[in-house]
Amino acid sequence: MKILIAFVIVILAAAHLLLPLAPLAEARALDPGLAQLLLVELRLPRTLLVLGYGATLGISGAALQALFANPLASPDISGASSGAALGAVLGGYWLGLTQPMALAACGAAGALVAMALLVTFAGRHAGTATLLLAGLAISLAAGAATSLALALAPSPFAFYDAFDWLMGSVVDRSLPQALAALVPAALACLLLVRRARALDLLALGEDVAASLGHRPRRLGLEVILLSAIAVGACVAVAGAIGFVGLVAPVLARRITRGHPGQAMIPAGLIGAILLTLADLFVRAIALDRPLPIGVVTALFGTPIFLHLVVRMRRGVAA
Amino acid sequence: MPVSASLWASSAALRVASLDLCSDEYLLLLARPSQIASVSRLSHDPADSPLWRSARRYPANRGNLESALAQRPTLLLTMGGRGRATGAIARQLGVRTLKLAFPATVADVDRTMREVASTLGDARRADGWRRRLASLRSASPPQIDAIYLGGGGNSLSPGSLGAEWLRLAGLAQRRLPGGRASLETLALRPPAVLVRSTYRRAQPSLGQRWLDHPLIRGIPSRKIDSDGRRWTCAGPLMLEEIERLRLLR
Repeated sequence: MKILIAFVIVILAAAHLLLPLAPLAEARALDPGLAQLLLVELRLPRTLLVLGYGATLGISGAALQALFANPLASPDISGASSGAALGAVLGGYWLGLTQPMALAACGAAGALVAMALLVTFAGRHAGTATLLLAGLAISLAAGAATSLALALAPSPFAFYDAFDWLMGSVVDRSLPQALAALVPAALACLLLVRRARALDLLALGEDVAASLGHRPRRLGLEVILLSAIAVGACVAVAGAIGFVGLVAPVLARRITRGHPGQAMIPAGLIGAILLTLADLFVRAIALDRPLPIGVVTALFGTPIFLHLVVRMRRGVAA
Repeated sequence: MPVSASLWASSAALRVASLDLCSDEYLLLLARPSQIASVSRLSHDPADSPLWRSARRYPANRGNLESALAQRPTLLLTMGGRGRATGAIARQLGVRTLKLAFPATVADVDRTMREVASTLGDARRADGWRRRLASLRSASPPQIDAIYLGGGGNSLSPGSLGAEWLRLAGLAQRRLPGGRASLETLALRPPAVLVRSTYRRAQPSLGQRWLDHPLIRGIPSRKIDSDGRRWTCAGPLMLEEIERLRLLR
């Protein structure tokens, strides 16, 4: 199964990098150096971003769902993504920061504040409804604050950026921008994956985890901090993209037969696949203007989300 | 005394309030200082108008009738879409309205200059400007392939007013899908001249960040910066800019 997923990722990444072929062929005919420039400066950052951001959403979503023991805990529903967008907007438009790394730090800080608020309001053992409501409130407030911060920004163009920040976009990002998102995200995800076993034990109960030498409270803080860093850095470069972080872990747990911690790596792979597919879809639609990638993930993610809701309802009824 | 009569009585001479950035340009270029009651607040902003210094000698309105009434104008100057109510209410208050049509061609700008000058009482005030335009139009320089580039790759349609101005500078705006230049287009088929708008260049927005992409910095086109504030209305202030671009290209 893992080999199959890895194979699909390689094929999709190659397709994402090389399609459409015509501009590359045209550039090659003019000058091979130009084709290489297009590939490295324009296509590669976008491919790296969709793969990396998708994987980040999958891994952090799986980690949060394991921590909260709740299938709805994900970067978007917890408010982390919207908080990160607000952080990046405040840093970029109001503090005048331009360095991609500084913006990534602002994104991480925003995500962390949103998650801290979530834990404060809902608590770590919140039921699905409480978590959903608290997350929704934080997410809506952060989204509105992002729009407000953009509307009041010095540049009148800033307001039109709201769509990109709240629905996500990976169009025309540069290599330094992609690296600013992906280096912190990769490090944070690596550290999250190392906590897979601890999260699996946590699913058996805090006492079980504690009896085997894990400190549940510290583990919770670490997972929240690392998820915030990973998601915040990606959002600061590509805006908030919804649903992938929710759906990928749900699909991944089917592979790991319900082990929430072990689901992180498959969730990361599935997240990467989903976001790459969404961006291939965006590029396949021949429009003069770029379609926000978050629109596609939301459109395809909603049916899966509804399926989840119906299944939960049946579970309650039974 | 009714309101309308009081407004008329207090201002026998022509006093004009312009409610739009684009009509401000005509007023500031053509009116005598005593004829200007107020201009729109946008013209006071150095980021929006090259005429901000002279505009700041006059009160600013907020682009609506209410905010312009304090200076007791006798004529409202507007351009572009505005509800019919503004004109009707102004008429009730005894204030005339001159609605200028948004220009679609350079000839329209020329016509509007003459129209505003005659409304202000002396059609000859537009003569200097019109002579300069005529001399610009009489010489037709060879056209060079060019792309006008604003934030986010936004450009001009070849049939637009802005593109017609560019042609007077000898720069032929290239046809681009959706009127937007993509990074791939700029890298693959760079224009001979890239006219970069400086409009709000220093203020952060995603469109401005797009202009800093390494691919744009690396393209071999000749890059000329243009005062983007003049392109907002592409009106009479373009003349000076086009004369400059023609020398630079």
